[in-house]
Amino acid sequence: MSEEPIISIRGVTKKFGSFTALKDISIDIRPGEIFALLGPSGCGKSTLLRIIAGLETATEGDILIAGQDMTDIPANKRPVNMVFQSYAVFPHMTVADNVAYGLKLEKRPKAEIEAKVSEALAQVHLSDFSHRMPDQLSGGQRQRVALARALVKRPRVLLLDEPLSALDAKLRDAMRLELVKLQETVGVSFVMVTHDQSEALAMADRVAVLNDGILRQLDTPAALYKTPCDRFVADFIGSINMFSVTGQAADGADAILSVRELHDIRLPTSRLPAVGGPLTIAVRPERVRVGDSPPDKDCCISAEGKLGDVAFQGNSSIVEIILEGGASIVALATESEADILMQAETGSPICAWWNSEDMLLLPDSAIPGND
Amino acid sequence: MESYRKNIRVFLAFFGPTAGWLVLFFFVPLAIIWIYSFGENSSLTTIKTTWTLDNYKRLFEPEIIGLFWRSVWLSVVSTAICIVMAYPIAMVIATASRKAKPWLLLVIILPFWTNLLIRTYALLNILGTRGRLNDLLHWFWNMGHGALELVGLGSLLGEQFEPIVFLGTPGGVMIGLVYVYLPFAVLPIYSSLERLDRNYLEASLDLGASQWHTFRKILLPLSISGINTAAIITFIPLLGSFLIPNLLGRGQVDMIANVIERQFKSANDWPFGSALSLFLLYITFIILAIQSFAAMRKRNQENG
Amino acid sequence: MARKRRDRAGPFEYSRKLSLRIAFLLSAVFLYAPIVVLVVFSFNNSRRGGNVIWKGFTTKYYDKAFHNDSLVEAFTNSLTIAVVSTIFAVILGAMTAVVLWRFRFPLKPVFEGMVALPIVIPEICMGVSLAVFFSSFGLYVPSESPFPLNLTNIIIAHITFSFPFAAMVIRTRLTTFNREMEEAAKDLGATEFQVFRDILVPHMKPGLIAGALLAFTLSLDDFVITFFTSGPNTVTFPVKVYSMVRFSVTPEINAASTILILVTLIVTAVAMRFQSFEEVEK
Repeated sequence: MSEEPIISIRGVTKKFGSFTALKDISIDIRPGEIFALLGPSGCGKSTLLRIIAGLETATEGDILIAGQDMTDIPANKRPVNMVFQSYAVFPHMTVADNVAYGLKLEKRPKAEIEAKVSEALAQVHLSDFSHRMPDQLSGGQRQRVALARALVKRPRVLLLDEPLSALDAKLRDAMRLELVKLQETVGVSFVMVTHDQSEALAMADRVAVLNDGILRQLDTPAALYKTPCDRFVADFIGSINMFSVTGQAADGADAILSVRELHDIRLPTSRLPAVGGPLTIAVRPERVRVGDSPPDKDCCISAEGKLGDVAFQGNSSIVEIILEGGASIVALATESEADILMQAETGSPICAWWNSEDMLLLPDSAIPGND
Repeated sequence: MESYRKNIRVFLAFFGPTAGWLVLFFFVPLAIIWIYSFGENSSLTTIKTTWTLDNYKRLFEPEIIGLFWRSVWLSVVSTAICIVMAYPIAMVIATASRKAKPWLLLVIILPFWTNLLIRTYALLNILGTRGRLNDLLHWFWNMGHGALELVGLGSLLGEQFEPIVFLGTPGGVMIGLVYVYLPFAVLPIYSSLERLDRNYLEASLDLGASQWHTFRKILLPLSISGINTAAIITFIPLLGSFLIPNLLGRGQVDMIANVIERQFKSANDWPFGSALSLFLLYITFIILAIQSFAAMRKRNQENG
Repeated sequence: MARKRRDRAGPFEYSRKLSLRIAFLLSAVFLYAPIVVLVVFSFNNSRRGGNVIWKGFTTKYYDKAFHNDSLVEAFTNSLTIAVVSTIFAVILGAMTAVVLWRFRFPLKPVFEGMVALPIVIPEICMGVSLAVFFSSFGLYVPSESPFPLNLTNIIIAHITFSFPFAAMVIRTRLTTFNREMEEAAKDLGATEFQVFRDILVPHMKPGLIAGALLAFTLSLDDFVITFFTSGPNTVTFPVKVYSMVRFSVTPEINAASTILILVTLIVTAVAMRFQSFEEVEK
């Protein structure tokens, strides 16, 4: 952490009229990392990216790039470049002209421009396409042009707005890897905006989760998955079973939580989150075991119900356990567990349980004073 | 879409009247003046079709060539002015907020729905030697004159305000033409800007281009089809305009339509008038043909 | 510490750029000043034609215009022509639109071009050819025939130039029609005619209204073609004003023109109303 951040977002707020798109966001982006801004659509992540690029002005707060305040520096003078969601490859210029556009503006010598353009096109495997017009390219190729066009400027940071959303599913997976490799080659930081959590988890070194213009959590993908800070993040990242806590009582050093769908849960008070407000207990499906009864009733939390659908997924199966009252628990059953379940009839009694340590206790919001 | 054969009675019920009307009241009249254009006046009221080419030969008389030349350059310059004025208007409307957009469009379209004669007549009030525009210029002159006198340069603007003569001059006619046809030029440019993806402009800025460079290298080239349409849609009616040169030109700045009108209404030379009309028609067709040919070539390029 | 700053215009919010706003404003002044001057001077209490100087407020020229029989007659003629030709133009336009939308037939592009021709050819050519047509076939309906038969020639001319515009508008509307609605109606037992009446016409309605308003304004607006097809006793409002302007410019013409501008404004307002209704319906 001793390294100086390449981009420093300090207390940025953006208002559109009476609507607050971003609320007091502070993030530091380190040199050489892939950083993802993740959130559902309308959470303000694209606006933040556009503020970094200088296409939008923050209502409050500052952006520092490489230690320099960007407030009065227009988009065309900032050392960052962007790959747009629609790619915005100029339709009236050839591929080579598109890539050369930014270099020509720097008034570089012609030979240097040509060399850099062909190098950049080689990097994105488009050397044979330099004289094509954009409408003769596929979506994936157009994206490579946009990448080459931005990277050829040697930006301090490359900004990518939903880089994979316009591609079809198969191409998307291939492009994920390729983008990560490209980042390793060129070494500049990538800041990408995405609404797809699996994309963010797979590609990014660190992820900032945004919702309603508020930064909910900033962490590595693994930490986000294992220790989400609140109900929203847990729900947004991966799949999870969640139950609202309806009542809470103290018994010495333990707390007793009542949940409508489950038995009362006894926990040491120290495990409760620091912030007050409504609580949710949550458990990932792969932590839920299924069978006739739990091996050890004391360290487990268990629930009895009826067997619902079983969806076969190769080496695992998704099992639905329908509890009394209609709520359900989803479990990721191992191959051997699933083999037994396949024999059982839908509706037959079944038990689900999990270790108390595997259970998460989540506030509605980790930020005091919100929600 | 279905074949006309599948339901021939329904087809004919719809097709017959429209095609019939079009042929009888549009193509037959055109055919008649086409025939008349090869005729000559045998007496004051009767025309004999002698298949003479004299009427067409007369098109090459210096007087008529001069007329064509004047009509064309007036139209070309007016079209250019219309487009230069329309572009910023279109830019403003295309980027206005969703609430303001229809109102701004209305501001531009409303005059277009107002009677052409009334608008031309309204200009008469403005452009006279003692009209409102000269009043305004006089006021400016007085201000300028007063200011210059203070610094001892009172003679710079002349002794007295000389009103500018607009009526009966090409300049006056041009003001009228631009005034009437400006809305024609705004709409196509507006719709091409409206369709344009703003990301192209942002990408250009992001890559380091200035606003002006972005305008020249990205915005202008990407809206060129709108400009072309605007040019055609403005130029064609401009070339055939009658009222504006008639009322504002006072017979001294005739365009083709004015001479055509005279052949029918006063000179009583219908064959020559017909030939002139057809000539105007052919020019229109040629322009349209060039435009659709260019559009076709562009489409082919894009597909190939 | 976070600083507050004014919301600056984005790089491409041209509508918020002062220079472009001024350009727009000046163009609007250019477009409206002559009309405003005309309206203002229609209240000018000056007998002299050129109405150069403001001589005080009066409405006497409106009074005069309303009592000028030939002006009122021309106005009535104009409105009659507009109403009658609009009805026919919408019917013919709708038929054209349906033919082009529904059927495949040989030489269809040619027919399409033919329909578009009256829109693009110079007005003067159309005016001249119709004038020659009516006179050479002796089709001039005598001016003495009873109103509104004496206007037949002008009405025919107006239908001819306005129905292609109506067809264009209605055809655009038809492209949004879902053919499955028609098939569903037939499946439920509707005949060809019932489908047309119950399904297609209601769908076309906004297009029919828009087409009608367009045809109406075009008819009211036309001068050149009317000028060639009108007889000495069948004068429309624009033609009448034209002949008056040629003699002298009087406040009476200003007053009459103001009334016509008002009519146009009302038609426009009605058109906008219908359009906003349409949006609400959607």
